[in-house]
Amino acid sequence: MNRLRLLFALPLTLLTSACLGDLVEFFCMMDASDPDHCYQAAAVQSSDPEDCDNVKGAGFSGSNPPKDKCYLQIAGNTGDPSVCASVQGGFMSYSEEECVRNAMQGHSVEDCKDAADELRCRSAWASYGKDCGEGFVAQQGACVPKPPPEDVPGKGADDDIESKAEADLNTIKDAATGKYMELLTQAIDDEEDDTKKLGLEKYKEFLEKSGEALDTVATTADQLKELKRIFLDAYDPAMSVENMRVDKILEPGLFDRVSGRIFGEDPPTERSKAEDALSVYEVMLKRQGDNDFLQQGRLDRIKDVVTSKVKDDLTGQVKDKITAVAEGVAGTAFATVGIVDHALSSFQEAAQKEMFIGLAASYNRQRDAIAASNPGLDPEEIHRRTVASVRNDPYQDVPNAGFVKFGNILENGDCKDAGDNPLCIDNRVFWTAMDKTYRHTRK
Amino acid sequence: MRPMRRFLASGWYPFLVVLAFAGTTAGMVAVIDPAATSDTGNGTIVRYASVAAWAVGPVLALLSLLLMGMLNGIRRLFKARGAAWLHPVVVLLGLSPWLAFGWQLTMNEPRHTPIARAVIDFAGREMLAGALAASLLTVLLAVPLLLPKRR
Repeated sequence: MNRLRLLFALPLTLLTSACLGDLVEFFCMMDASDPDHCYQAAAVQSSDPEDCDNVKGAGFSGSNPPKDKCYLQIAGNTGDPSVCASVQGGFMSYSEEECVRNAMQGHSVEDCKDAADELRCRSAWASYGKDCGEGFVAQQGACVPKPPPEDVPGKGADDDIESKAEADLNTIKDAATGKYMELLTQAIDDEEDDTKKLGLEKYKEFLEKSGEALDTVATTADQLKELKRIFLDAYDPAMSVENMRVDKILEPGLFDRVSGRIFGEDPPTERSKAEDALSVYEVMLKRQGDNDFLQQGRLDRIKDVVTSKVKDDLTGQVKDKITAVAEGVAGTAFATVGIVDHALSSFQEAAQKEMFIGLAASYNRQRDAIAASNPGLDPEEIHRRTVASVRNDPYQDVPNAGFVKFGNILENGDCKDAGDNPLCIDNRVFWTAMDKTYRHTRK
Repeated sequence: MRPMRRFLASGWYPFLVVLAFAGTTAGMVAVIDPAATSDTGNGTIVRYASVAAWAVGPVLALLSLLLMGMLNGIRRLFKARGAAWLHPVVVLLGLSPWLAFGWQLTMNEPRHTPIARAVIDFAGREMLAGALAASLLTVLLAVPLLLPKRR
């Protein structure tokens, strides 16, 4: 009779768009033979621990194993250890510890994003020795959202120190040696945001060196504000390739997602992982190209700001000195690097692309080997060792003799040194792309 | 274009679409072969689901035909049978429950229990593919409505 109900139940579940868990619960009311396991399945499908209360534990006394298993399965499916607090335990049942172990296996604290009570879930992770996750901090035994940085007037980069020192400002040298420099030093000490602090430190260094090289060039408070803003923007990590999310880059389109769900997805292969790494490299190169364009714009803006009050016949000289100072202080933040187009075109042709895929696959293979032989090592250190190993011997552990000589890419060096040779990489981006793709595909 | 407009106004249009829906859904059972590929984890459920999967397309197609008939009946009550643009709308509305449910099962429903995995693998994916194919056919056949009427 139960099997007959099952045969009818399956098609009947299709008549509505209700959640399957709710539909199963509806049929549990008609199933008198084993309501406990039926309600257990309904609760687990809905991932609702409150529904586990319907599991009465018929035939058990002193413990309720089906109910405890209900919590255990929900915790294991959702990665939410806070559910385990309801586990009774007891004879022939499951313990809270088993439930928590099940919750943490194959999950991380970031899975709490989908939990019904995210803070309770994160706090449960923290109570078992893990951290609260990105954007949350532990406070008095519970996880709370990280407070935004305080916007206190007079502190940090928005303190308008230029207006306070305006009376003493005539030349850049005055700015570099007088009251303005004292106020700037204080602002750097007060700054809590690391990236803003770095921008201010570089600005200070620029000012000090400009004070020596351009001691008679006039300046105003507005010009200094503009220069400071340029340096702060230059070190803003928002556009950095390091902060690009690989999951967004590799996210399949709607058509691919639907067809993947309908027909099933093929398991990833070594080649597909290498191709993913190359796709990420391509997207990151385009972002780097945008950054390079902005960098060039910033250097021009610095020159324009400083020379706005300089006589025409001296403008060229002053601009050359500023370029030397700015590039010396800020290094790659203002360096003119126009290699992204070359790097992008280097793997568009099919045969060349195969070489890059070979190189990416070599990185993945060698990283697997280094990670396997050093299980407790930090991921950043593993990446560093992998890059060194690939540069030293790109063909290590190549599975067959018919490989394409991808090592030539490394021999040609960085694209900025490779001249017209199409096979090269942009070192600023390539290894970052390999590292981030590896971590994403190995999650 | 007149024969086409006559076809769209006739009962053959919804019939052809639900036939396509039933055929595609059943065909997808053969193509995907969920009995071989599903990770349901319960032999009893797999046995019954393997039988029920073939019935999903025809049963839902019949229900769609009934729904479309009801909607056309309502059109008749409101004297809207002449509005040609409503022909494909009624057909799409008749398919929409399976499109919505198939989408929910395939794209959103978690695979936490054997019954859920069975429903998704043996019915949900096939239903979604059938509903999408039938909806596409509905829209393609309705293209002549966009062209000017020949007098």
